[in-house]
Amino acid sequence: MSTALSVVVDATLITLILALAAFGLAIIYGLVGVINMGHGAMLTLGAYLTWAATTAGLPFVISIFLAAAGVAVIGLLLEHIVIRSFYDRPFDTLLLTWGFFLVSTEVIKIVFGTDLRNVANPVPGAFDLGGIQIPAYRTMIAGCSLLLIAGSALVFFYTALGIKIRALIQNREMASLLGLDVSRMYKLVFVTGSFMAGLAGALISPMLSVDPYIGNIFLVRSFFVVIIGGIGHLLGGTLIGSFLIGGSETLFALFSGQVFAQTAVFAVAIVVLRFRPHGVLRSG
Amino acid sequence: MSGTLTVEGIYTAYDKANVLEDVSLEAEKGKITCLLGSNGSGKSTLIRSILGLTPPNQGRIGFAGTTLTGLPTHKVIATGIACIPEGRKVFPKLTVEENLRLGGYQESSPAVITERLDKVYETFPRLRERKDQLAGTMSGGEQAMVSIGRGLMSAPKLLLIDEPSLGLSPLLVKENFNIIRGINELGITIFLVEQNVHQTLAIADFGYVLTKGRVVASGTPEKLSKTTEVHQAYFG
Repeated sequence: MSTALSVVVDATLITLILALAAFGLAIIYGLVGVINMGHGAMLTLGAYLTWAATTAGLPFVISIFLAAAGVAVIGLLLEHIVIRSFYDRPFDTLLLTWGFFLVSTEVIKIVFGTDLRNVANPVPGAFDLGGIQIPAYRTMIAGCSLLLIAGSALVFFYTALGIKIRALIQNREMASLLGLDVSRMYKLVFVTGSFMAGLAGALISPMLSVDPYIGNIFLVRSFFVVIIGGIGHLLGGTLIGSFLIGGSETLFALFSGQVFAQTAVFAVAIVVLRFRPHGVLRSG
Repeated sequence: MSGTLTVEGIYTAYDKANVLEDVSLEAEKGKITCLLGSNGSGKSTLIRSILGLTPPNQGRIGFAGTTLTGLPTHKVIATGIACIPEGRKVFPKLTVEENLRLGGYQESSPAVITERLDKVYETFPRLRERKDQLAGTMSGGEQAMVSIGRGLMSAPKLLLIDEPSLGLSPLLVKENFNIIRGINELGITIFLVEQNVHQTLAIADFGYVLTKGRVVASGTPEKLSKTTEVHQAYFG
């Protein structure tokens, strides 16, 4: 009984943490069609900036927002200098963001070194739920993830900005015919996605040791989440994709080692895509 | 003249092949001006050139004292131009009301937007009944109403209409042309691009005929309906 409960709790936490990690990727891929290979680097940058800010003595809450804002600024520069001329060329943006990943990883190594860094856990300890210990900090990030996704849903479905974004992804040319400044909207979306990636990296940093490749742990899973959930299904797709990937990994880990579990997740992804090539939420 | 659309000697090309050659015309303020031409004559390209979607390589386009050539699309629209595009192009996954509101989003006052929305609903009562329906699930005729209503939501000075009769039944075409005439009576300048000669000439004040990217005839509807170019433009 308590095993079942602990699997449910673990799966829920992992689902929400994965959703948080993948959300920035889902925004940029789903709304402006850029396959952001630099997503992992943005997570890493968020983690390092958090480490730098907390090490400088700033409180954790301020540090994560500074880190997210820093990554948003980097995203803005990347978009303004490079990406904005290539939106209609997905293969080129894939290579360009891959280049961004390589360059920023090297810059991180030069600036911060390759030693492991640790961000102190701001909410240590755990609480007890029917005999299971649940780490408090993970629960908090899962809550943040839910809040972010729910908040984005409100903006997306109930505000004037949301209507504009939905119009833009349905018919870009028609949106411009209504006077929408399409290039500015694209910039806004790219920067928002970068901000979310930076924030995810910042929130994840106390859970793991920070090294120049911390983002890569989540990069492949983030891609699975977005593709399995269904590209363009920002909210539901991200949650369902995270649930399938995170949930199956938790289940497999119960009966086997971590390595096998991670391999099995690839198999799950392949099987799902075999039967739903456009993702769970997209038909046809 | 302010409020008049002028096109002066434009050349527009796709992949270096000229689609429009030395096209000049004028849509006079307060009037309905039409451009007749068959498929492939360059009508839609002219609309795209005016809107900055496919900018001309040469020539000048002006409206209300502003030169439009070289402006990005959203700035062309900001001069007071709205477009009802070919094939209507409603946003299928937005509701009727969301579609309409998008048309008027440049207006910041909610009171003015509500007033315009009410006017559109008065013109098309059916849209009010269906305001929460997704536009993509409506019939072609209803989508045409959404598209026209959306174009009116910005309270434009000039309305560009690209083939409103395309894909509609003769009855709906007649209804739509009556509505276009009604819009013009409100003082909105209209530039109408069409294949449907008779219905179009029946409501236009002045017309041009486009064949293979060149203006081959122009004049009043009476004159145009007699000239051989109109017939040649369609029947070769």
